[in-house]
Amino acid sequence: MEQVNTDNTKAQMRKGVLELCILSILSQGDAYPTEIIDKLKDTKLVVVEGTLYPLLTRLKNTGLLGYRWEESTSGPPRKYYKLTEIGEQYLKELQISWEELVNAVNSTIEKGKKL
Amino acid sequence: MNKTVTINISGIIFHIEEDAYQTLSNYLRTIKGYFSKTDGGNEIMADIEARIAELLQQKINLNKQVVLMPDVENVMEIMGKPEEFASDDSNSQNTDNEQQHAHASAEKITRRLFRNPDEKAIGGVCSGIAAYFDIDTVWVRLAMFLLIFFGGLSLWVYLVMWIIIPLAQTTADKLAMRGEAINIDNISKTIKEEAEELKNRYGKNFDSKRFTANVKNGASATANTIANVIGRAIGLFIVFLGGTLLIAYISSIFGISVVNSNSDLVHWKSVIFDSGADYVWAIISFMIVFGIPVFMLLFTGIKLLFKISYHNRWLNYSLGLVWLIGFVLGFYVTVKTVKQFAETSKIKETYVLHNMGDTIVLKLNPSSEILKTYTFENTDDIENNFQNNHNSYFLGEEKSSLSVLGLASLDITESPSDSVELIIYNTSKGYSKQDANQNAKSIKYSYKQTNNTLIFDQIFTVLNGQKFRAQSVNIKLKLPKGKVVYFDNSVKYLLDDVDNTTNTWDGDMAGRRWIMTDKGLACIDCNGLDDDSDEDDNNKQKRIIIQGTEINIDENGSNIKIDENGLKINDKDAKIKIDENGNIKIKTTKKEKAVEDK
Repeated sequence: MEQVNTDNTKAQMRKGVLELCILSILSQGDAYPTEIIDKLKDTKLVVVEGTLYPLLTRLKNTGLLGYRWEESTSGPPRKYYKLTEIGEQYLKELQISWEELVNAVNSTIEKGKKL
Repeated sequence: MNKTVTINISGIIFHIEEDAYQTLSNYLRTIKGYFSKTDGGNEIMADIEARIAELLQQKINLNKQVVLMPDVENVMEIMGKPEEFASDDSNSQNTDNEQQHAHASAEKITRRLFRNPDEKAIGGVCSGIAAYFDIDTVWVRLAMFLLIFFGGLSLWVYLVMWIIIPLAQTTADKLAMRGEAINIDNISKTIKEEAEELKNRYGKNFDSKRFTANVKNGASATANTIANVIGRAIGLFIVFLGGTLLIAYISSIFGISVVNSNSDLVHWKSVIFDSGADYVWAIISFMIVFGIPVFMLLFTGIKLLFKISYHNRWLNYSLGLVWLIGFVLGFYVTVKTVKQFAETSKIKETYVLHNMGDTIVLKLNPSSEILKTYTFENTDDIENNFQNNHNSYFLGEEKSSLSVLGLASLDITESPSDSVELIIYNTSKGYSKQDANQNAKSIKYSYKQTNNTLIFDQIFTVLNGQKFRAQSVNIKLKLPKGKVVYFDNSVKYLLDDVDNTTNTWDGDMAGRRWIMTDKGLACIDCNGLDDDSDEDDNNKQKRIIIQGTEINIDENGSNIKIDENGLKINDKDAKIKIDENGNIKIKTTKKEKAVEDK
């Protein structure tokens, strides 16, 4: 049981960060999934691409993201996602709490190391 | 050289090798399976397909125009295993308790019923069910085997399930069959490595806003589960109902009626139906008209129970058509058979009896003599029936051919003349007057006269080989006024509602002497017998009604009342009152004055 719970926590952590990363990428400008994936791949946050699609749809459905269609020269039309106003606000909150967390966690870990 | 298939993904056309196509198609189908229950599942699907199209497009160029197996494998690697990313997201949507619940319901939803090709004795139905309910196959097989003894129920159920349950063909099917694909252990294995990296940097769940959304999701999942359970309960009920009907249906077809072992339709068929073919048609139409609805009921029940979406328009139409044909056939045979009973013929034979003396004795010829020449399916039943009703028929077998036997009835009325007359009506139905007449003539019935005694047969027979056409024999004995008739005890089963002055029941008329009067038969030695008509009269004259503390005697208008005021007796001739003080007042029509004076 304990084992299962820690695994859950890990998954939750990773997912939370992934969401933050997607929102951050989109705050730099509209992007379609492949672009987002390419950027995420550098951070090794996304191992398989399939993970992204359900997440994007869910973010869109909760109103954090919007999208528009754009023709592509080399394939099917692309779905360009962009941050909505709610999304931007949400991102700001996330960033703040992220930094707080990083500081708190880092300092805790540092203390732990010193001991 | 390999065969290629043309496919359209997200509006882009690809030529793809057949085996690669199979793999890709299975892959997409599995993903679809995972997202079918998710909000926006179609949208996610479309996005994924668009991405796959994009990836595949990068694989082809002017020199390489066909998508090959390695390409598809590469795409699948990039996109990831469906169970990985699909469950990953549902994982993130939920927290703690919510999550456990989501897993439980996700597991139920994705678990599907398949026939198991890896572990099959016949069609893999049993092992498929076992996998579905997560029990050992042995138990399911054992249950199936035992159910064979319930009218072969499981044989039919098995056949239906074999037809409608799909075979687990792909690995994804097999996973879904065992419900293995989505569970926390599988997921944790695949994400363990990445999680390791984050372990030291991150502490707890970090958003509360999302929790509300999660609750909503949880609620809709619960609603889904409830709908699921209800659907299955209904399915189970229908399967049970269908199974019961199926047993009744099968046993009635084979003539092994569970309730009454004497319903030997198989024997009657040759004397009722015009021809052997009619009987065959009747059976076929019966099988169709009742069998198809029973089959459909079972079919629907199993579909509901195991959530199988199997819809075959062709099957529905053809079953409907066959049913209609069966119905028309049944209608035709019924009409044809009923027509055999359309006309009635009554042959009347009158005998004037002489030298009867003043008292006529009526007796019954013991039926055992007639019965000896026949053999019956169930002699006990037949003898029992002989004592109960007039309108029953039997089939007796004589020299391996069947004859219809029936019971005669006797009635006694007043003769208009001075002579004793015995009239025997032989009645029968037929498709025409002539036929009916012919059938009536085929009735054999006899009586004997020795001095003043008439001995009747209880049973009439229909000539060997003649059909059953509701033949009957009614005897009417006409007695002139003043004649006395004595019913021997044996004759009571022959009497049929004989009118008499006292409305005495046929059974009680036996063993007594009756005289023919103006008003009908009157009993001579009926003393001590509870007479129906007498009883009625008595009730009318001496009706006593008790209401609370009051007793009313109708005839005289008399009334007795006892209450806290004492006793009061009122009658048209006398009034008596005893009040609470012990005073007694008596008024009578004779002595009224005298009492008052006192």
